[in-house]
Amino acid sequence: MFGTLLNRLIENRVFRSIVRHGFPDSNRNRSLASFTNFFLHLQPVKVRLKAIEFTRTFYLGGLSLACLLILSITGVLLMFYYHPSVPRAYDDMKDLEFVVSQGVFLRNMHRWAAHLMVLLVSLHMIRVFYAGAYRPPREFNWVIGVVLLLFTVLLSYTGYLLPWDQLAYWAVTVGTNMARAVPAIGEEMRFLMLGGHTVNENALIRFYVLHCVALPAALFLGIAIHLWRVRKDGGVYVEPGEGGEVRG
Amino acid sequence: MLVDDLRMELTPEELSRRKLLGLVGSGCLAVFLAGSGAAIGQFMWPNVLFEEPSKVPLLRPEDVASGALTTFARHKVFLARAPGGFFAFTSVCTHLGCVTNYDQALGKILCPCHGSQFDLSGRVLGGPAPRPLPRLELTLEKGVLVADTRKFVEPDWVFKV
Ligand code: HEM
Ligand code: FES
Repeated sequence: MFGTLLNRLIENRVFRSIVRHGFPDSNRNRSLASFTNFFLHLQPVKVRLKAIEFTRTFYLGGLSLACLLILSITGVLLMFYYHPSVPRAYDDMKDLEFVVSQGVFLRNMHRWAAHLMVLLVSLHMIRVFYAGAYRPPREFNWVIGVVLLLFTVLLSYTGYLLPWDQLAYWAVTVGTNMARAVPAIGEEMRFLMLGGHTVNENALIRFYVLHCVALPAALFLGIAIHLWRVRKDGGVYVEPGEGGEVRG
Repeated sequence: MLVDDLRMELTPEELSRRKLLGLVGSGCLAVFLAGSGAAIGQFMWPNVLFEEPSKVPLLRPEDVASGALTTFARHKVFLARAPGGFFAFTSVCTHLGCVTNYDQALGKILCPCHGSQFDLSGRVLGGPAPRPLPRLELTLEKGVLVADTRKFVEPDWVFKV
């Protein structure tokens, strides 16, 4: 009964045009399931059991990605109410907390996931370091990782200004003054970051665009390359002597 | 890459033409990218700013209190009397740019961010601030003392009226 229903669902032209391989019950079809799926193809087709043990990676990279997905969804929802302008920004945050249905939940989700992501990415980096998984052929993936860490921190920093409260305002004043310490071009760097001499409406819109468009786009692209390279390097690093059977 | 490409027989002439076209193409792309980069850089550099003017009117000389600082919170300026004149200095902390507060009871200037302290002429008493609060150029315009928040003067400069 269930079997025939499933067959009816699968054995038709529409489904076949989307999924072009058979049921993943043979090694061939399982491989095809990975090869022919945009999302799965970032992953290795075959994974060693040892590589997916919890204690090997603590799933830290995957959990970072999960945080990013939560942040993207909650962030886009917050964007429907938030206006990046000096007269509106702070009031909109108050509205999100006290007026908008589920607003306080979404805001807190976004904020906590952001803190958690910075923590998880850092722990992931430490994990990779202690596993020695940065060595050839994974050297360049480490470099990509450093860029991802930078983007993650920049997202955290640009998002921090958006509530436009005292904490935000002075944190960004202090932070952009640190940029001033860069030799020779420090003053110009700060001017470019803020779009002016003080933290003001230009700075708010700049940080907003970076936070909501430029940095997330760059981060997603970077992660795609990062995961694709994990696959190209033969999956998560397992020490040569460790063996471990290969499971399709 | 075209699949057929590998099977095509190319004459030396065609080969050199390809090389040239490839070079011209890459050159155009490089010029385009460099130009776009420069243009975007220019675009991101604002030409007009809607910021507070740097020249800020403070007080008439005769209204400036003696023995205490006058705070202009909006302009981030302190004004004081000196023997024979006046001086003004910024209230923006030389550590990382927070706005400092004049504490009349303590007779000091305190920064709320990382605890720097300054005396009433802006010299550092403690904390991470690396430099004294810089003095600002003062002028007299229509009988009112005017400070320029972007023009810094020597630490002992006094505006004599
Ligand atoms: C947005 C941030 C990041 C995400 C979403 C991410 C995601 C992942 C995922 C899912 C894996 C698979 C294995 C695992 O979970 O450990 C991985 C592996 C790896 N990551 Fe990241 N990562 C991020 C940042 C970083 C950083 C900051 C570094 C180091 C500087 C780094 C270096 C590496 C390396 C070298 C591997 C291969 C590890 C191995 O083969 O055992 N990644 N990453
Ligand atoms: S900004 Fe004043 S002490 Fe750091």
